[in-house]
Amino acid sequence: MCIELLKMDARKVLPYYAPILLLTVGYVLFQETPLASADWKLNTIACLQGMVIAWVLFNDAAGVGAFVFSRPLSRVRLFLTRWGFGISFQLLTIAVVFLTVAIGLRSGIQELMNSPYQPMVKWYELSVLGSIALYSILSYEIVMFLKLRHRVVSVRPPTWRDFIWIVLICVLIGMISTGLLSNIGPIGYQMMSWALMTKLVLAHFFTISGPIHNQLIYVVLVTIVGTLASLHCYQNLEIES
Amino acid sequence: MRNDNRANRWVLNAAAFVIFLPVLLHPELNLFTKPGYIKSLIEGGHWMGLSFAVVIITLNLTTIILVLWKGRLRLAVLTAFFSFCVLAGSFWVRLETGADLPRQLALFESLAGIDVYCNDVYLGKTPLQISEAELHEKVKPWDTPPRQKMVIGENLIEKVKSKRYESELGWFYIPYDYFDQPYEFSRPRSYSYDNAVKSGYWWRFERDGCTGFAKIQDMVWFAHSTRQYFSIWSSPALQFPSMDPYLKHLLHDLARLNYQPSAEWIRHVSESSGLLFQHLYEAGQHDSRVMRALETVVRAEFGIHEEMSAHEWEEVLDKVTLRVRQRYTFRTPSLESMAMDLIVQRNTKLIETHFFERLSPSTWEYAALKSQPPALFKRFVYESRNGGQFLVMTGNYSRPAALRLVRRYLRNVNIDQPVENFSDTANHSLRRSEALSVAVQLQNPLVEPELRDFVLNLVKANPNEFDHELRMFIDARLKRPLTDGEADSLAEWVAEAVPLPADEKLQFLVRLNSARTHRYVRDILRRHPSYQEAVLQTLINNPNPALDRFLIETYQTAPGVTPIDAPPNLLRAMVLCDTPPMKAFLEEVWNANDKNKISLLSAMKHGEPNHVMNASLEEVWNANGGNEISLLSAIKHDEPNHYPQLHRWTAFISQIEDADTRLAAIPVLDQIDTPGTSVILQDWALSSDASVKREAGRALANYRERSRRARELLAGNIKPDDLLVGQTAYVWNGKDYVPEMETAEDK
Repeated sequence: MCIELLKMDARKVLPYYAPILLLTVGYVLFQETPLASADWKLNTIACLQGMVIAWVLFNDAAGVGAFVFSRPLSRVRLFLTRWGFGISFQLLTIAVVFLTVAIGLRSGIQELMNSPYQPMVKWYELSVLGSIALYSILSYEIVMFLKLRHRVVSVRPPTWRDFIWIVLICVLIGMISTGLLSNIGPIGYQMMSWALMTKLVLAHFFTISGPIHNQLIYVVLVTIVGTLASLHCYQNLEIES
Repeated sequence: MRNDNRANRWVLNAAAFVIFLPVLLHPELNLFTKPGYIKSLIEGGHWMGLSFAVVIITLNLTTIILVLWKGRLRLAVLTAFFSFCVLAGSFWVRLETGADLPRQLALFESLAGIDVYCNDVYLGKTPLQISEAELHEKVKPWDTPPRQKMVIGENLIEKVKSKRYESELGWFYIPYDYFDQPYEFSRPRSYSYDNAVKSGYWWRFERDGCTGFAKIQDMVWFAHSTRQYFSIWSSPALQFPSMDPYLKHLLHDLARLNYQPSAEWIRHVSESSGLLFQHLYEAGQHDSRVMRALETVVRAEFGIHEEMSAHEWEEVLDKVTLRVRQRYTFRTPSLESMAMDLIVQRNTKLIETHFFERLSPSTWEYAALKSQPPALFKRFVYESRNGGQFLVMTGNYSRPAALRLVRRYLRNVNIDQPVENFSDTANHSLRRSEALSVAVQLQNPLVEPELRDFVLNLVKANPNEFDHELRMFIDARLKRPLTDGEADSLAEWVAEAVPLPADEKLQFLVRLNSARTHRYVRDILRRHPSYQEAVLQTLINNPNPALDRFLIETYQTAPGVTPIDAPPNLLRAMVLCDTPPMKAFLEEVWNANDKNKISLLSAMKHGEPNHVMNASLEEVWNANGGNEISLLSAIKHDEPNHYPQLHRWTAFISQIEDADTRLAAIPVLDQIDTPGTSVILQDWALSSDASVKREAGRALANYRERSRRARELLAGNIKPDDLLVGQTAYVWNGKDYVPEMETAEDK
């Protein structure tokens, strides 16, 4: 039964996940500057990946939810299967990025493009894996919890408008939290133009620039609390046929 | 939530609280991260800011309660966003104007360890940060301007009684009220001498017993707003007049001990090295014995000896790192830099192993430049992705990858003037300045042509904007050893490509040891003959073998063509130019007659003629035609210890029997601090000739007094400032500062 559930979930997630994976791999292959944990573009993609996986995975179309929840699986098992499946997609991305860098595909292409950094920096570039995992899992946990919480507390099913609302919340959390944790957030700057402000906000949101252990503590805390609370929501979901 | 749902709302609300933690606590943490911020708001009477902070905090605490109790996430987000926008907006306004922000003073961020006094109240050591409220609490303004122990540039007061010169004076107590003046565009408005004197706040800076004098207009560097404070940054260029006698007494004590430093000397130099070391190092450049003494200090300080194990070297590295951390910066030269030199010479592997783990960032560049550790190349390449100092470290390697990296970096810098809005202009300027800084610091001859093209294009595309950087670029190249080819190409570049005025080009060319220098210097001087004196002065300070022919030609075309008629600076420059053609020419002049010998000896202030002519000291002594008095007056000079070779004449002076010659020799002996001179003086003090006895006794007393003061200095009984004798004090007469004697006479 689990296999069937996973197949169903894979069919749901893959159309959204595959383009993001391609985008990630493309970026990793063709970005000339060495990859680093402070690469805000890559972290943005990772964040988007976490959000989309959580949203699609825990969203059951009308009728499907009733079918899934009526199968002979406990809700704990059902939740853990889906949660683990979502995490696996993110690990897959990390594995693909690792292989792209480690087997020399990236450095080979970059050498063809006359990059002066390759192949010397190959192994140092793997530091990017940590930040991909950090941003992807953080956004995955937040969106998962907010979505399941919404299904518990609200009488109407979540829509894409809710998703945009949640994305905005995540951006706000990220914007403020990175600013707070690194102590130099966007408000610490002279925002002279909207272009510069946008750049700063994005750059600071998706850049690990502050004390890394503060951010790690926050991510670990959110992962544990978010997972347990989401499980609690899942156990108490009201399914309508 | 539906009433029949069994989900525990407290669990959901608590989880939401954890996720929203940064958002919910953002305003509080922003307001409380800097301890004393609220306190300074209260003390500074910033009630607007205070009530604003209270409203934000109350609003946020209410939101937290609503989230935990009712799970109102959207309300929390809206409130947090509101607080965020208001805080950002208020800080934005404050950043622009500095209005309503508590003010604080940041003193000497770049120079650590200076004792700061305001109205003789000790405020602490630099780098020092003090708020307006704290300063006003600790320091009460003085009603009357204090007595100035001395003033640097007092000739300006004596000669010109004009207010406009007063800003040029360096004060012992520097009048300045940092918090009572408007700031425009991060700079203070002009602050007149009259306003400064009325301010009531008198600053004094001291380091290791040496008072630093400063000018009023140099007191503020810039001011800017941060989130919590309007910060005024001050880093005046201090002058330490007691450093000169301080250095002389330390060198006297060293000479007295035959340049074998005593434990007391080592301890003193080690403890006071912050300000002193640079000056001792410069003295060491002229005298290898001083340099050896400094190395002894370094070895004693860091426990370096001949047979060291790897573990002991690690301990040395730890000590260096700890000292750099305590002093906030890695200075060159310093005790730490000399210790790093020893580590790099003996144990490069150690640098490779502990480069990132133990060395502080300020030490990295020095260690990398000195050792160029092969094992760290890849890491340097990776770290240089954002330019900056790592690019400099990487670019100095001779590997092809390093060269490609530098070339790509230079190619990607947009050298044109920006045309977009102000913020982009600032960013653009920043990138160009950083690229110029990288170009100045890179010392790799393999990319030098690209660097020159880059700097030149940048300077030409932005007229007058980067002239200072261009000068730094050329100056950095002149300070490093160049091959003949490099020197020729640099001379050609400076003379023909660089867009600088002729006199500046000339100053650079004169310092360049290249076969082409002569032609370029001659051409410029042909067009601008008035620059000749400046050229000769530069050649005295930086003797250049490439210009020997130029000097000979100048001498031959000078009126009279004798050493007596030649300009003194020309003779000095000729004597200091150590090349075979110049030696041959000077020998010819030397052998012409006795008058020429005396004139040339007068030019030989270094007291070491044998490097100029193929004559030993003995030959010079004997070749003087028996006229030792002239010779002695010629070799005597005004700055003892700066010309350490003087002691080499001691052996000849000791043989003098004639009273008149002895009288001429005593001033020379007075300037030589070795134990040998005191023995001669003691002997002559017992002479039957009354004049010799008196003068030798006086010189001996001077020698003993110098020794006594040096010992007192080393024992800590007197401070370097106490060595400043015979200075004019200035007192306030109700209207102006006047010399103290003048006031006494007025009374």
